[in-house]
Amino acid sequence: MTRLAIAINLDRCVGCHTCTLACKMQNNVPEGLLWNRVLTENCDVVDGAEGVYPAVTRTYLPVACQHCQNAACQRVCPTGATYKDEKGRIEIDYQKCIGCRMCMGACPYNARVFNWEVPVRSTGANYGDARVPVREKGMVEKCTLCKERTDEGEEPMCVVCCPGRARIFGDLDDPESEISTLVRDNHAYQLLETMGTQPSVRYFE
Amino acid sequence: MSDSVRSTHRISRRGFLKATGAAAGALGVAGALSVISAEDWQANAEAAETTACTYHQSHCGGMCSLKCTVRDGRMVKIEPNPAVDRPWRTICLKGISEISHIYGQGRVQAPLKRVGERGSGQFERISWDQALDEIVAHIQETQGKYGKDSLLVTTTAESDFGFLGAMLGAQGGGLSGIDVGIGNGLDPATGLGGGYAMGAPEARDWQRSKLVLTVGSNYCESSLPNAYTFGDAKAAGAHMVTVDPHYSTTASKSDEWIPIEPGTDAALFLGMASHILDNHLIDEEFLLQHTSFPFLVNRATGLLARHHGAAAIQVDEANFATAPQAIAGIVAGDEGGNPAEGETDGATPDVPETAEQNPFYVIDADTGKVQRFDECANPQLEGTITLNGVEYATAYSLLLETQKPYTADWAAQITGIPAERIVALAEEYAEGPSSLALGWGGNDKMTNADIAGHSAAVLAAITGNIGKPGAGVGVYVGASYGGYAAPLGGVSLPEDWVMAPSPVNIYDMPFQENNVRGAIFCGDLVAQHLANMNETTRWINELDFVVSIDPYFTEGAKWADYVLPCTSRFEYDEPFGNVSSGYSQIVIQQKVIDPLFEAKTDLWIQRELATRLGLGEGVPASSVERCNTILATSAEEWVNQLTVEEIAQAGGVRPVPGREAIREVVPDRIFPTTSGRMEPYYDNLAAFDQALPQWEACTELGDEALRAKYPLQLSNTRTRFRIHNQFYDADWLQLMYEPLIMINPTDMESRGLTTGDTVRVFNDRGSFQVKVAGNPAIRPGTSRIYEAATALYTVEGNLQATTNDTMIERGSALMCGAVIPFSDTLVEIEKA
Amino acid sequence: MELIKRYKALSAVLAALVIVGVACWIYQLMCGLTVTGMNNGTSWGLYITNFMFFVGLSAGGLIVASSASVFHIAKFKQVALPAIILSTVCICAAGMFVLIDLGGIQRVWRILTGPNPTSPLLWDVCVITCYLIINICYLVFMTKGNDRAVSITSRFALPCAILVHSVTAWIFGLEIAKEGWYSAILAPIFVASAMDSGLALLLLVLSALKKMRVFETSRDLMASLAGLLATCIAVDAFFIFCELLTMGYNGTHGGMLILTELTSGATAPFFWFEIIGGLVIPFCVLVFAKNREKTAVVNVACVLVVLGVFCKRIWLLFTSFITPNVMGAPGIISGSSTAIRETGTSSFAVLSSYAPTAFEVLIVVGVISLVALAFMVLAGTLIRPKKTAE
Repeated sequence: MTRLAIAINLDRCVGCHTCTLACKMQNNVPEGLLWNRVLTENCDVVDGAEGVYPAVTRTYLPVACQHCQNAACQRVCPTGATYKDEKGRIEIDYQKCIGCRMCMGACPYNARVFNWEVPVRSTGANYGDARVPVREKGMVEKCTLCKERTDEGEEPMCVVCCPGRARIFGDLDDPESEISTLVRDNHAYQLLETMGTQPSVRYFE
Repeated sequence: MSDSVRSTHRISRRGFLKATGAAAGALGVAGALSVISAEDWQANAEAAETTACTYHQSHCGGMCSLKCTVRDGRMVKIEPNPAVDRPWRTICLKGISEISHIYGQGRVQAPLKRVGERGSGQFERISWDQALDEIVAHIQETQGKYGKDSLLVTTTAESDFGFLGAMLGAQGGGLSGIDVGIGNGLDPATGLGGGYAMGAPEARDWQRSKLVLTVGSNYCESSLPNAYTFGDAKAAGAHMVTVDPHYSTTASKSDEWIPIEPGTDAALFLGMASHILDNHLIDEEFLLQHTSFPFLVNRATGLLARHHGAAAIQVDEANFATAPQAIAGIVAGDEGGNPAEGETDGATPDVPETAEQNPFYVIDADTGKVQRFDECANPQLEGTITLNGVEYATAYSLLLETQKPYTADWAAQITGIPAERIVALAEEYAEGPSSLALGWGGNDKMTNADIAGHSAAVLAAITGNIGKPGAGVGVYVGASYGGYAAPLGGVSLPEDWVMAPSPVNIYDMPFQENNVRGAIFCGDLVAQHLANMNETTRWINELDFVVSIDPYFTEGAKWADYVLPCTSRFEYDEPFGNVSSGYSQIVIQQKVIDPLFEAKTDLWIQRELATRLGLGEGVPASSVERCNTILATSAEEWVNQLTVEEIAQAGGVRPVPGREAIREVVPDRIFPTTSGRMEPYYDNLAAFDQALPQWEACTELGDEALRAKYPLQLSNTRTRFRIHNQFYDADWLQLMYEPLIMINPTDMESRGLTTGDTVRVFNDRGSFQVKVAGNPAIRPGTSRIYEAATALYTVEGNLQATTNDTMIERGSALMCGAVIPFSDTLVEIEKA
Repeated sequence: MELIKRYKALSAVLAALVIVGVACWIYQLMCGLTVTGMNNGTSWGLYITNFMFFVGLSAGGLIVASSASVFHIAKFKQVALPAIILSTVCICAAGMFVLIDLGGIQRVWRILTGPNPTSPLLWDVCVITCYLIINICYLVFMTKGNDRAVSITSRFALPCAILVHSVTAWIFGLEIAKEGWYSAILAPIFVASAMDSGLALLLLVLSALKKMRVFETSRDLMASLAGLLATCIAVDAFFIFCELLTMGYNGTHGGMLILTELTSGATAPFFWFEIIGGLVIPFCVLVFAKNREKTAVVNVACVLVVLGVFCKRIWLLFTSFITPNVMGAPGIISGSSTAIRETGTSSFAVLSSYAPTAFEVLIVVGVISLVALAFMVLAGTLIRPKKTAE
């Protein structure tokens, strides 16, 4: 089996939001939506901190679809628009999406966004990879693990562009892969592990 | 900003939105009534794609080579150039944001002519012909009346207007006053860095350090495209320690953050140095053989003793090992002598004499006698000697004396860092190899910045943390600055195209009598470059005419009479725009798309002006030709054999051979200084009592009375979201940041503020309004805002209205003149 | 059509509201759900609140009517017809709210061609359809006077009514992502809420019909239904107490976040209104037999119960949207492109919030007007003959 995944080295993440914009560009994500966000965890302002000066900490936490193996979003989708593919990715068949947003309520990570309006693009035209299907209003969308790229053996755009080189893409089902080794050696963890969603996205420091 | 400008330069965007709106309506109806058609579904495919490479901003030192995809004549994708090998393949969010930025609301779409008051921002569209004709008339009139140098032409890092000032015989504004604070103090010691403290090796060298001590730099933001080098160093086991008043991004990525009182970096270094000296943690070998510390200094004058000249050493034969009559300049193996010797003796030479021509002296430890430094194998580090009744001491002895008050306890009081931490840091730094990473965004922008740089030089000198693997001092920011420079040639100018000198430096122009009557600003000078904006604009308003050339409407453009739109890095009217030196590689600017709107290339504008002024053919007729000239005139064969077409074919870059090896600085420890050694003793500053670094508080921050009135220091720092004033108009970046002042929650509370409030930030110089956020990362008693928050993007007013423009007295004696102390600024904040 | 003719002005107003609502809905279809106050953080709003609410309202009627047959409570039989009419129109409203809430209604047929059996929404679609069919059958059999068929239908109707509320609850209660929803007791709470709000509405409708002289319900029956209502309120309150106790007892981070919002946060007004106005006061009123005799008092209590349950739908739905599980700045991006044209950072919210827009409210009002009209039509045509028969 194949289980494509991204591991994120939080120690190397400098919170720059390059992945956010790389993803937005690659996937033609319209204004007002993002598939990938970098949170300054538990803070109300970007680059904020937790604690009292000078005893402060900060974690930059990139959050996108976690590609859960036990995906809550997939389970609740009434039409099967959300599905897990043969490479372990959670994908959306936009044609099947009725816009009920069950999946948005079900996703513990707020990874899904909805085309509330007719997509607006600041440049006035579609951008990004031509292979990426264009979504319409009324459809839910989210990180596809750059399906169009990873299908062709390319790395996801967020991985390619990451200035901190904090992101590692690979196959978790291949024990010899770099990602598997890193996940093993660094005791990588999953977001909200107790929810049992078994994300493929892993975090380590 | 008035509506008229917005409506002028926002037309396209509005147009886009209108079109989108119409499409939205149409699709909406379709969507409501029927299933989406297959054509809509596949909309992003089909059209033919082309790709081209260009390089991005140089101002951050990134120079990222970018692969750009064009579909339907529009740039639709920007990626790191895959032709570049992984370590040098870089991009950041600013590069990606260009996908929208170049089409965005900030673009100047057509030549504009001012119709309202200067600063009112009211313009009308005019044709290029009208704009150029009128500008040419202004140039001719002004230069005719007041002389060629009555015209000021300034260029910024991103602009490509290298010919303009020279062809007009204009002045360029002299010293810039920016980024030279630390370098002023550091670079004379090493002979490296050019006054910008750029004498450090590349950041990859950190992997070989035991300690990477970052002080006043936010590397993980300001050198974002190669932020991975920070992570690499950490992973390799370097102890990453960051000293910063704020819990910066870099601080949070470090193993340890040491908070410090703003403007006291020098005190930290001095305190560390004292501990190192007192406990003899010095690198004695380095001090003796590679620094000027064993050199004798005349105690009375503070000058380094030389063979002849104003600082000529007293010849006292009894104490002299060197034959006193021996002619300097004649050393073993150099029979030719120095022809200038006779004439320069006793007079101030035009060209500084070399140490061979006019040597320094040391005390020979074996004989106890004075000896030429270059003929003494075993000099004495510490010592004093009286020659003909004149007292001399080694620079090191003087250092021990001047350092006495600067104990760790003293430094603790000034910096707010516990003395034990300073001591431990000193010991760790001394053990080495240590890198001391300094910056342009912190203490650099304060009145005592040169002292901080100078103290850093002393620190590196006494511990030998320079010129060996894993050791270095200076600014590591900017991959293209730190990496290997490509040895490019250049286009030669006609002989009569020479810029006029600027007797008054740009930062003094508002205050000192000068001949400037007209100005052409290529990039924003008015709002971006100078502090105390109300004074700047008062001066600008006195000028006869002002032209602004930029792809984007900057705030400074509001004071221009003409605003000309030039192209971005992605547009060109020829296949190739330029060739440059990137991150250890040659990078090229390929045309990605045609010039947008009515924008013209920098070269075209210069050519047109030259033609209209009848200045001849100095501007290359074609940019492709220019590219190939730049390559062909290189001194190195691997470059001068290349053509830009070949580089394009190979993917748009050409690596510097051997770049795999980490670029080192002075690996032989022979410094490009007079003595070939590191020279941290600055006898030219003896008159200011700064021959060796002496603590001095920041002018404004140290003013207790003013502090009572304006209790918050205003640091304007760099950010990953902008490069100075650039990208404020990039909507994809606006998504992540809008001008925001951050203060500590305790300071919020005492002022009754909550995050999101609009506040007025003010002092006696002026005020501006922005939103405020509480952030415990900010040191209490300070406030932080990112640079160049201009009135176009704040709630009201410009950050520069408040910034400090006081230039220190010793500025003129410093390597690059005084630095503008933007962050040596006190303000108060209240709810607007 | 009798009632429509009798109350022309009311009918005209309702019809006008329906037209306005439909117009707003068409506008929503054209522009997308961006015309509502919903966003990526709070992805469900007033429509889903009303969906839950109306599913609940529909219950009272059918449960009263079917228990009449199932448990042979003869006196309940008298009100079976208005109860079923009420139940039918309410479930139609609920269904409409779901459809209105869909972003891709033109693709709704995908539920039929590719149903995902694990989706509670699919179950709900099935159960609500069954429920509607049962309601219609019930109506048909009842108007035809086919008692046997009614009796058989009622045996299906009761479990189906219980199920429809449970399944609606499971849409929320099975979502592990939402601290305030994920609870086994959610289905019982929904059933209880359905019972009390449905009964309260039934009582209100019966009393209105009485006033209109359309349908006479005996004072005694009203009182006994009011008694049943009091019991349902008590059960509802008990379940809610169980849930709140479990949530708060261990002081867990997630539990406390929800409780704090409920008691002193954004949803506190709704929470306290429901607890005090929707549970405590009506119960204290209706628990006394004397009070149950007084129509006005009962009516006030019923209004309070209905409003209380509506408030409960609000706090139940929205409290869990406020704080994302993975929280931090800049937060969740809104989903609207308008903010980016001003200052982009206002596109985000660290804590999610929601306020319905005028469009949304008008659409809801339109739906409610439509079902009110439908009730008037059905009641006018179906009840009258029976009354004359009496």
